[in-house]
Amino acid sequence: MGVQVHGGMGYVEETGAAQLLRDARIAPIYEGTNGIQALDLAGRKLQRDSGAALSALINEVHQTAEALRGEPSLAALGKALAAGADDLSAAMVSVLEQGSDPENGPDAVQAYATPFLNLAGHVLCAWQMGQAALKATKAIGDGSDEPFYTAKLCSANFAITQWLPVGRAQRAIIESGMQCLSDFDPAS
Amino acid sequence: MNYYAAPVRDLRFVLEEMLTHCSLALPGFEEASADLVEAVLEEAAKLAGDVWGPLNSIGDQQGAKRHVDGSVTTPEGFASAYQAYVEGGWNGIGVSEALGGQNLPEVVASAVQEMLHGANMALGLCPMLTAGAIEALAHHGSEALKTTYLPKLVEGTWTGTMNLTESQAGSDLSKVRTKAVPEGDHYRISGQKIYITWGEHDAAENIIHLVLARKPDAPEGNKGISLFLVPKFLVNEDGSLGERNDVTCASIEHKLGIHGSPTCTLSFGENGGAIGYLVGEEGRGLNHMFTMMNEARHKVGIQGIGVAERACQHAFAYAQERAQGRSPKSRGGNECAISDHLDVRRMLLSMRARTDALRALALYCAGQLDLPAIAKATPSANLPRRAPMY
Repeated sequence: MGVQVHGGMGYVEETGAAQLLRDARIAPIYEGTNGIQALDLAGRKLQRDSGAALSALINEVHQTAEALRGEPSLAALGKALAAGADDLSAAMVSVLEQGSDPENGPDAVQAYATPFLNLAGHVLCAWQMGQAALKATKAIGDGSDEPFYTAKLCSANFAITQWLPVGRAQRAIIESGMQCLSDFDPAS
Repeated sequence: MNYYAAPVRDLRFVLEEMLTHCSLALPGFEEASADLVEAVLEEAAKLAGDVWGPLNSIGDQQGAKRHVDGSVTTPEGFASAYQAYVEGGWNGIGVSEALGGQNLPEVVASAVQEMLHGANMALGLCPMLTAGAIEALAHHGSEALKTTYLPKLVEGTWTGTMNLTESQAGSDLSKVRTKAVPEGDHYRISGQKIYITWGEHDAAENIIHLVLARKPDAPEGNKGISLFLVPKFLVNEDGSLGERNDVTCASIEHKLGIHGSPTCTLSFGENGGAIGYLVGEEGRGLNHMFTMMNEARHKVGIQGIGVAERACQHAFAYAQERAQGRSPKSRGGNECAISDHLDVRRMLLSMRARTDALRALALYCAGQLDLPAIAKATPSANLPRRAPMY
């Protein structure tokens, strides 16, 4: 996106924006690709304790959502965050159920791993930004006029209202099934 | 236009305001007071902004170079920038005092790593791999291996690598074919490893390779894989460097990015077998390597945040400087900066929000890594325990 902001100047090398894109592109590949890490989460980690650790974490997300609801100016963020946490719980149940099927389980884990990781990532990022919003609101309430806190509030608002919904859509992807993936023959 | 200012204020917000429950000046990390942490971040910001950052684009343009004798030189300035990092004592900041480090919590070490990767990701990879090697050796190495290798790795005068991938064994490591033949108190390692980050270079005295290999009689699959330590230069009993071991850099990759980081194909044992030492238990190599891998995976996340922060800084500066079109506010007036267009602002805020969120999440995870040390120092505390990672 840094390249996009620069327009044509981003696509030429002299601004340095292109280098950042080229350098960063290895991160989703090495030390285990994003796909491998998604499989590790949806397959190994989740199935190992039947989702106990993730459920505990989702509870923490709900606690943050509660705290946001208790703050009038942040109540809408709390509601949105709680809805995201509910999506993650529901998706977790789907992945656990379908993933433990003796026949189709391994395929189900493969099919849902990436959208599941994506959903979890969005919800947990929104959770952290919910915390950031609480801290920034407190600092402003305590009398700070540092623009830093106002900027953090904008950032938190954006993360929860404009970015989290993109992640929440992953639940629908998981619930739409995997038929098109299993039917598709790349050789055809 | 190519600059980087370490985001000290943002990092302090996460460390001091969001994570206060976590690791600063808590049991096990009493030394890490807020004042000390602030000083550490400020100093790291100088190293990142003044020394490492300016080399980022030089590194990209020059790249690492391999010579006919198999030696590799890193881009201009990289070796001395790494030297400045070692002399500043940065390599051991997150390592426990018992191992010669400074025992700062992982949250602080991670914050410093973010700055270094933001300044120069290609150079940042070198200490990142060393940190993984330290972790794996500290957990699984024998006392003798730890005594010989850890102090120099913690100082950073020697660097570490992880050697997993072979051309037929990428995501599926059960296919590893590199051989380890027992010989007295050591093994003879032979085979070829690819994609070895900082596998050969001119920035440190010695390179300690951690290598997955299997004994001739080992079973097929994961259970036959063991972990071996293979130094570039053998180490004499008095700790001085001895003969060159039988490991050479056969080539370096031409890559899309991180040109300054030498990504090597390493040949082991072309002249009789490289001397290697078993790390941990036979047949538990993958498990032991995952200690290193988990460390590296968290740091890859941190690395992404470093680069994202730098991309934000570039984009914000450019968008406020570049005048194009008119916004409703400037109707009839002059051209406005593109940052006044809300569609551009959407991109800027999208970058900022993601960077903020991921920074907070990655440092939260770092805080989880600190929990065992905190729990150890306060046996009575009822702290949540992190799940085993592998």
